[in-house]
Amino acid sequence: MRTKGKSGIGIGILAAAAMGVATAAWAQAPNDAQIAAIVVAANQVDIDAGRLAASKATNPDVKAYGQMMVTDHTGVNKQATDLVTKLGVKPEDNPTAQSLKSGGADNVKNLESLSGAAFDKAYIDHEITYHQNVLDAVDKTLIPNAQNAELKALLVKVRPAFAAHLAKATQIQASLGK
Amino acid sequence: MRTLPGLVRIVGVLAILGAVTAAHPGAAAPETTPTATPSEGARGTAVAMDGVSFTPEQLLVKVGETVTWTNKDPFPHNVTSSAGAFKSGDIAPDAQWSFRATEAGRFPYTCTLHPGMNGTLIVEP
Repeated sequence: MRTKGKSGIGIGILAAAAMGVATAAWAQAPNDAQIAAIVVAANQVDIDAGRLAASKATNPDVKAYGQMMVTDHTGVNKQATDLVTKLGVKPEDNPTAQSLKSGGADNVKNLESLSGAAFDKAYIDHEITYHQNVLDAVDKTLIPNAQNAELKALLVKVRPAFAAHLAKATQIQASLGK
Repeated sequence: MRTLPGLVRIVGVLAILGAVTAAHPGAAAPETTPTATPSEGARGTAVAMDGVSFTPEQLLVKVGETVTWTNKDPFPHNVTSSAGAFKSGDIAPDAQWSFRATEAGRFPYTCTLHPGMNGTLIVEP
């Protein structure tokens, strides 16, 4: 059950939804088709938020970060899609992928209601929580459960990008506070 | 008096083992291949940008040599000298960027897009 995002409450719900990413993934071991759907959903959610930030953010670092999220996650998604196509794996929707998508939609809805510095802060704060939880899911669920060696290798290869995104967002968050 | 023949036997066994090892250079290769220590850096003129890291992380070249960075990740990177000695701008996936080293020195560099993605170019006279 989700309520419409309203600033503080909205952020709390979004954080809870983001937490659900790791928790839901932990509850059951996904197969490769489900992992593929989770990877695609995780990237798409951050592309959507990044696209909004690239156009709506006022701080130039936040704007550039949003554009970088669009570029990087589009690249990762293309590589993931190419791989699953090559492997003949059809991404299979699952609770974790659904939770990612609904959490992402809630985030965008909340961000759309904000502007100026409040938008920039809310976007970056969410990016930090989001990347922390995605990294957690990658480490504890996706990499350990991936059966296909190439899929596992792809996850290992893109993990540092998510870590770099988290580091960059943390740097920006610190600079916004000044 | 009994130790000497014993020692000879041991030396003999070692010699045989040595001969066997030498006869299988392929098997011994991983241990005998010289590897540069991190402080020295690896010799060559190519650096891969792969998995959000520069490989080799430290590259050793001579003045006049041209270094080529190749982006093997599915998103852009850049090569930016911390001291301003060189700056690539965005390097797209599968694209390359080259830089001719004209000055000796130690040049730490980074990808400004991805924190933690660091390398060092060491240019010898």
